[in-house]
Amino acid sequence: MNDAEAFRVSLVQMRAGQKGKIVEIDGGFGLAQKLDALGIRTGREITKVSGQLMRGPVLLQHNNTQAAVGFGMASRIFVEVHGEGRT
Amino acid sequence: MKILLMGNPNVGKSVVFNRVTGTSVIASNYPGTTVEFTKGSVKLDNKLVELIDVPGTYTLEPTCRAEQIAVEMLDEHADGDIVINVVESTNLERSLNLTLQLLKRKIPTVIALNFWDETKHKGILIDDRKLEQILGVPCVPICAVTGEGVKQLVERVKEAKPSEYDYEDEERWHEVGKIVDKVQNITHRHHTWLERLGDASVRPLTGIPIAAVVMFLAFKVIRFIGEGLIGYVSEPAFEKLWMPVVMKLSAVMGSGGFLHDLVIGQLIDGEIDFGQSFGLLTTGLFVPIGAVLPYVFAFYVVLSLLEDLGFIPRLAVMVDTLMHKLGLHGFAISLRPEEKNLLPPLYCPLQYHVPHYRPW
Repeated sequence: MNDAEAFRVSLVQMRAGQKGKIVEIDGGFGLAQKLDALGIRTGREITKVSGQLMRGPVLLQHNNTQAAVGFGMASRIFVEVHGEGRT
Repeated sequence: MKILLMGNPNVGKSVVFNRVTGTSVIASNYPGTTVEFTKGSVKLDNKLVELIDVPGTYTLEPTCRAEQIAVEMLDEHADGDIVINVVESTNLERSLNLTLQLLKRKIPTVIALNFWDETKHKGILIDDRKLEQILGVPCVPICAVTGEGVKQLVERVKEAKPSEYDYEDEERWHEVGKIVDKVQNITHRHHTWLERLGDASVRPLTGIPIAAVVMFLAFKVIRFIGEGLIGYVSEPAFEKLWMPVVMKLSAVMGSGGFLHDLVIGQLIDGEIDFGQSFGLLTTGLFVPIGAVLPYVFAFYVVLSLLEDLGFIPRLAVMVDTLMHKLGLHGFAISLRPEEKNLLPPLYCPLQYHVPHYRPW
């Protein structure tokens, strides 16, 4: 898992089961704050649990907590995926 | 002096509240809003102290109306008030975010580590003494559902004091991480079948069939309970107990005439038919109480069970896209919309009392 292999995708583009580290939240103060309250912030290691059909919410997990994030918000959360990143 | 009960949504605040308060609990709306909170009293050193169950919040930087009210209630505190911060031991990291924000307010605080018994099942070890040392406020492990530790919690309320703990706001999550590292030890554990089921229920391929099966079963069970109640309870009650009363009344009113038709309705073959007489005291009572209420009851029993199982929030995720087409949020299907985006574990502690739900 070295940096050369890591690359940046949005939460929407990640595959279910993939792990990564949040590197950027592309939004204003309100979005950052809302996500922060759910424990989603830059630097966090997360796993994408699932996505839904037709632009549905994305479910992600960090430690013991699972949180669902709407498609719009998920597309603004960027993650550095570890290892061989096939999307 | 009053005590504010604060914590994230769904950490068992209400259960703690029910455990420590006696009778005379009042549920009211925060002035000018529909956000509801409950008030009760607790006996401390033979004095009655007001206890307020503040709406759950993840943060003191409010992101919604209920959170805003939680913060306002905290802002309104007077000298001598105490905060009991209910924390989810199985999710220490998430809970401590709010805890650190609370401690920064320098209000005397006691921390209740709820779901203490659950930590063992989950392979989580928490050093509560160390946490107490670090934060500088009493930390009491409790299990609100069974009532363990609640007495100690009440006893230690008088030890509540403002925390000396200091940190920079931008560093808060970092601080939370450091504290968790020091006081928590997670032993490796295999996924339980419930966790697998929980994950399967939110993947489209498996989740849609699971949702279909669960909803079909829910429908069947609601009909079974509802029809059972009507067939064995409400119909016999109306036929055997209420029928003689209204028949007598009908006879008194002369078995006909305008007033009789209004109150008793039409007699069918000289008998009252609760389904077809259409009088105020016959069909008018039977339809809402005898026929509809049993179904409403059955519906809430099933919905509460699904909610406590943790299935409803997962269903909310599954149907979110569909609900958005109707102009609603996926969580509109939940009885507890304050749950917001966080999914509880799929597991049934049956920690919520059914009367807690308010359908309106």
